[in-house]
Amino acid sequence: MDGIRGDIVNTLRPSWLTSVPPEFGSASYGKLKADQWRVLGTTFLPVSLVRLWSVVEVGNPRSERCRQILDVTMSLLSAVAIACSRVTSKKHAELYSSNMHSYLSGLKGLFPEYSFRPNHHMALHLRDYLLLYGPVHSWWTFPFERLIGILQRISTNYKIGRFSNFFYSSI
Amino acid sequence: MIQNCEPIFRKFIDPQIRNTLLTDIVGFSGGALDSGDGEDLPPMALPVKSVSYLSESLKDCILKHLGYLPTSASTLSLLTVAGITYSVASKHSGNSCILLNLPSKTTSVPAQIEHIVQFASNNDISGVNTLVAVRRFKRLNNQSDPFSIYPLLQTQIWSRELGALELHPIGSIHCHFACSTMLWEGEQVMVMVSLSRVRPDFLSFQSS
Repeated sequence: MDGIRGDIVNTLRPSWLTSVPPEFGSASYGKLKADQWRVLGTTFLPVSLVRLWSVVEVGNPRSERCRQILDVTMSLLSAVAIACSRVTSKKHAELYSSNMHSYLSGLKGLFPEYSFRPNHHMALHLRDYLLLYGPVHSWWTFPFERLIGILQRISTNYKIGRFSNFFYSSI
Repeated sequence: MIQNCEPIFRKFIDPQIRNTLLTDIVGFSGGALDSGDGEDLPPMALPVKSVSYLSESLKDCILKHLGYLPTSASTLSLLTVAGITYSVASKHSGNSCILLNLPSKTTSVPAQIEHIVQFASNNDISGVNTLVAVRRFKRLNNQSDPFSIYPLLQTQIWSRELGALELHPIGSIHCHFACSTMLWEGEQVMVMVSLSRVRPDFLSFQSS
């Protein structure tokens, strides 16, 4: 984790890129948001994991195991990258599907005792949605979730139909 | 009611908040408000400063690119194109790292913006040309690229060294990239991660 956090701090990036707190993963910081997970996975993790795990020390079981985990993780990150593309096509959908299947089968091979979650199953349907609805940013619900978050944080007087000046001053 | 909700929507696109959704909105509105080419360039004021204040390397570069030296020019520290801000390296190094589409190549190459120059167009006195003066990162000679087996992640290693100053039109800018350094096969290299919003279904980088 220290290696990944160090890479986050040392990476040069444009100002518009979603910021990922270097303290992520600590109990004190809390959870990352979806966009932060996406940026962590497609921008920071590939660099850190390849740097840490891509070179296999022959005869070192831990190093060989790390390399296997790296390849499985990179399948997942590739699937995320292709799924979030602003342009999609049948080939994008097939690439997504093959990477997601590769990730899930690799995960099962590395951790046979692990039980898949419903999200793993749902992720396999994304191929069909890419073909049916187009690029995900045109139909994902993040804009609405963000607006709901803003509305939830607004103080109200709980009196329907009676506006309070406090309502506007609290925004 | 809509007027009263203005603060809510203003907060919705708060420029202090950085995330993908916001840059999508800004990019869309930048394109929608524009006359058609999707670029919201700075006001087209004719440059009035003499080119004599430009550095010699930049003047040589302009001369080489245009074949003549304009009488007046101005420099910008940043430029916003389709909602994305590009800066010179001295202003914001992260915003200065760009991938360039070059006509001579089918692939994008990483470069760093050193200057943004505006000058009056030679054949249209009312028009202003805006160009970026960049230095391209050099390719590595012998190193194998550990990222080449994961092409969808659009990550590559390059030399940390920069090449000569060269001028390119704004339209050559493909996107930003994020970068860090790492030790690879005994050499400090630059790791470049493309931040293009479009993932091609084929490998589109210059192989290192």
